[in-house]
Amino acid sequence: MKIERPGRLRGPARDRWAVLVLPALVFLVVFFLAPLVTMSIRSFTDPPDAGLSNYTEFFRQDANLRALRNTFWIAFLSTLTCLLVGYPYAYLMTIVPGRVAGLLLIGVLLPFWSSLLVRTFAWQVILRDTGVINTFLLDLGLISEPLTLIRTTGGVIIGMSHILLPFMVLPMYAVMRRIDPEYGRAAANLGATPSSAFLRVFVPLSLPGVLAGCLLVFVLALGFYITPALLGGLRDQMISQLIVDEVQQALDWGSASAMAVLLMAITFAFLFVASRFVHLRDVFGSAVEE
Amino acid sequence: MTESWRQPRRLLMAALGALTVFYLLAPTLVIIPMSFTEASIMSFPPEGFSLQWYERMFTDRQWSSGLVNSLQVAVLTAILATVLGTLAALGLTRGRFPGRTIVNAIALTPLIVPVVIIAIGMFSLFVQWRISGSLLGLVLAHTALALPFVIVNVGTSLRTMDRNLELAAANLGADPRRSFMRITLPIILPGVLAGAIFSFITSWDEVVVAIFLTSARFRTLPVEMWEQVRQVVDPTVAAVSTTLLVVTTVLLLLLLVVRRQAPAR
Amino acid sequence: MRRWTAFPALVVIIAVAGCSTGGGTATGSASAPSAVTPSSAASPGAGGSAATTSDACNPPKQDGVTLTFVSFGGAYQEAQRKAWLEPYTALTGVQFQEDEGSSNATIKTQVESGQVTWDVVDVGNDFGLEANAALLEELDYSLIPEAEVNKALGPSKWRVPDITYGVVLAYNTDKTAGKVPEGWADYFDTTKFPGKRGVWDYSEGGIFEIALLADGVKPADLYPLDLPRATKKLDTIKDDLVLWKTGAESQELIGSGEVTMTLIWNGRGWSAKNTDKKPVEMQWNQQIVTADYLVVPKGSPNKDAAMKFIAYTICAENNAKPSQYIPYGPTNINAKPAPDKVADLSVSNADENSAYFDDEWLVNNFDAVDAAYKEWKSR
Repeated sequence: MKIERPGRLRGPARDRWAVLVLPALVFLVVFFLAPLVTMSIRSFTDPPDAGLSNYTEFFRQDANLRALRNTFWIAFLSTLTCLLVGYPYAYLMTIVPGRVAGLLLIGVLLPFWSSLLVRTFAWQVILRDTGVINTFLLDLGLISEPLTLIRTTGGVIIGMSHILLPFMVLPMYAVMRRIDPEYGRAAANLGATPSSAFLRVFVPLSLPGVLAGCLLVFVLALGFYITPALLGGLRDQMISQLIVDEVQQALDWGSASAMAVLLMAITFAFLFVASRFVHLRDVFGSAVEE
Repeated sequence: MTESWRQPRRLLMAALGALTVFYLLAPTLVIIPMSFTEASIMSFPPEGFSLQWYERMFTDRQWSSGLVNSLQVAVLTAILATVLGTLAALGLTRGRFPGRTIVNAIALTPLIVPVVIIAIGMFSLFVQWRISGSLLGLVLAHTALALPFVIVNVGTSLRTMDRNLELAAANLGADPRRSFMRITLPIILPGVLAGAIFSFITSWDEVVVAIFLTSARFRTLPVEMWEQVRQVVDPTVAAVSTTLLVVTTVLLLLLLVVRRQAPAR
Repeated sequence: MRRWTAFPALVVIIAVAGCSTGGGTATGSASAPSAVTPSSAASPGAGGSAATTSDACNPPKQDGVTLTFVSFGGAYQEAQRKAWLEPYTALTGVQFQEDEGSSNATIKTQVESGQVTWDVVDVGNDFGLEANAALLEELDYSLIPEAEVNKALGPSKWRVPDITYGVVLAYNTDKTAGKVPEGWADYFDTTKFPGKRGVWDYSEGGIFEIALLADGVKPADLYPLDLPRATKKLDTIKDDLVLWKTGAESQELIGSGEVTMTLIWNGRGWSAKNTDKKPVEMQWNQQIVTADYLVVPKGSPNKDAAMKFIAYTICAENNAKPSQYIPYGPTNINAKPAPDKVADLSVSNADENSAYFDDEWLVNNFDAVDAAYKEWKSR
């Protein structure tokens, strides 16, 4: 009988475990990384002597720069909205009894896992000129002409924030619920008022979660396509829409690849900077586990 | 003595909370009633009650084939991703090899890269490999997107399980494979199932990659929806949306039940 | 997929004699099919013997052949199927595989990757000229009755027009409350006709043309497009514009009244009124008469069979058959469209105010036009 002692995980055993990783790794390299790499290469080789021309051409066109600006602006606004709405919600989840907290959690998780397309579609139905809100207000006689809610920046923000809210709430909640209530008691014992204790003890302790949430939401918002395409107006075009148009309408793979590389670079740059402040694994892990 | 910060204006907080829940759920709750309308266009509140749009989903060739295709892709994706991901999770949590951090990072990249970039990258390459517009191509693409979910969920289960159980099994003479099948696997099963369900849902709802990797002959439900969605008029789209939602919700509730019944460690 | 997307090419082309004479005038009367008078000769690819109608209309039996036919789906492709594909199968035994997502991008991808599965593709007016030569097979004009093809529609070595349609102004009569918009100037008049305006989200789909027409430019003077003038005109109603991407979307927008007026393809306007039973009417004044074209991607595995089929669709007996199902017109000057649809055809309603796209100029200058469009959209 062979007796295995703890810690003896070297030699053949280690190789055996490592081997298990190979199928998934090879799979990702071939079907996920290879497309990204070839596309990046294509940004320099399509047309054959392109070099950096796709990139310089991108920055030369006003419309592209505006799209870049829109992308950052809309991502920022969405993050802000999610923060303002999500922070109280996450906080609420920590102070209500367990059962209610569970319900609130489901309230966040259900839409989180629902199709993004369905939810955006729903907002379209609600916001358009002949949609739910306008029909309601018109029928009541509160307005005489439909309000323009769709094809506006506001419409995009409403839709995107709706979809991104869970990504803000979940990391924040994960941090908040670990904040020891003892701190609160200690603060009260030292004479702090409830609001003072909240602002000076709770909030600073919740910051890692806030950072994680904001980072996640911002980075995800940068790459959104479906929602801005359906809810946004002419002046709200984001980079993702430009990329798709380059591929589908202008057939310009070189240009599209260059834009894609730029978007990836921006995304990774943000993540790199953020990784100084938060553990990326925690950030994305909380979005992936239940 | 109650914690000092647990005494906020309760009503305000409760109101905010309720409003937020309303914001979160309202849109989807609008769609569901609309799918039952008798009228031929979508309206809210809906007129009458009819199941005709659900019927249409099964009888209309385009919708029904979309439904079948979506199911096929999602099931195959779930299987493939779960197998690959579980193996990978085992390797990552149990193994000690150089480059483990990098592999970990690679495993999470599908979550980070904007999906539109993934879509066109895959489109370009898969066309050259002649798998674009086919079941195979889409399953491979969705599996790549779903892998992180499996790896993280199974990984968590593996990390939190009691290793002593495996050691005990080894001490009793079981070889690693047997130990895995009879000890480890049952314990991590909730994590594996969670990964499988998330993989299914990811594929079932996925639209951007599908837009590029499907063709007129092979199309999934979300892509059919995307084609139709700008017109916002056909209640069939509402019926399809509700179906997508219901399937997802059922699976999630299933997951909650499974979690609750996880064997004690 | 009911997509009416036309995708332009990007390379500079050498001017090809064709429709750059400004389109000419149509002498349309209610009963006769259109005859847009071209200057006589200008025939592309003049080699080969002149084909007679009867040759093209009598293709040989080709059992065991399968052709992949691609168009834009929906009622349009249905009409083509009933008018051409099914009779052709009965006549020759050729079987058809259909695809509904006609897209120049896909043609390009197929040809460049060396795996071409499409044989006959229906494309928009921005494709099939010399700039796209590398992507397309040269058509067999020894089979196609070249002399009978309406030259004003700009056939070329690589494309032949198969149906005509009009880019017109449609209006929702509920929203216009009895008033009738007379032309594109009224489209831009949101005081007289309050409400939103629909337009195709495509730089070369007519948006600049209608702006210029509304600003008083005569159809013959449209090209080269005065882009600054057009964008300035568009700025006056920019906030009221709703951009649509598919024919079905345009149909829904005008039918529901989400927009008061829209640029639309006449078949879609007709469907909104007659199929959807919506309060939609069309204004034929100042329409832009244009066409769709059949092409064969380079490297198609069934090139010869494709050529025979295309010739069959162009021959006078068959060319007008789709008009039995939708109000889109023939491109063969001898073809007679269905009597009940004649009044609804674009070409029947063409007059001296009708405009025509200058396909060559549009392809030549696509980069400039597209850049101007993108810039205008985002500012």
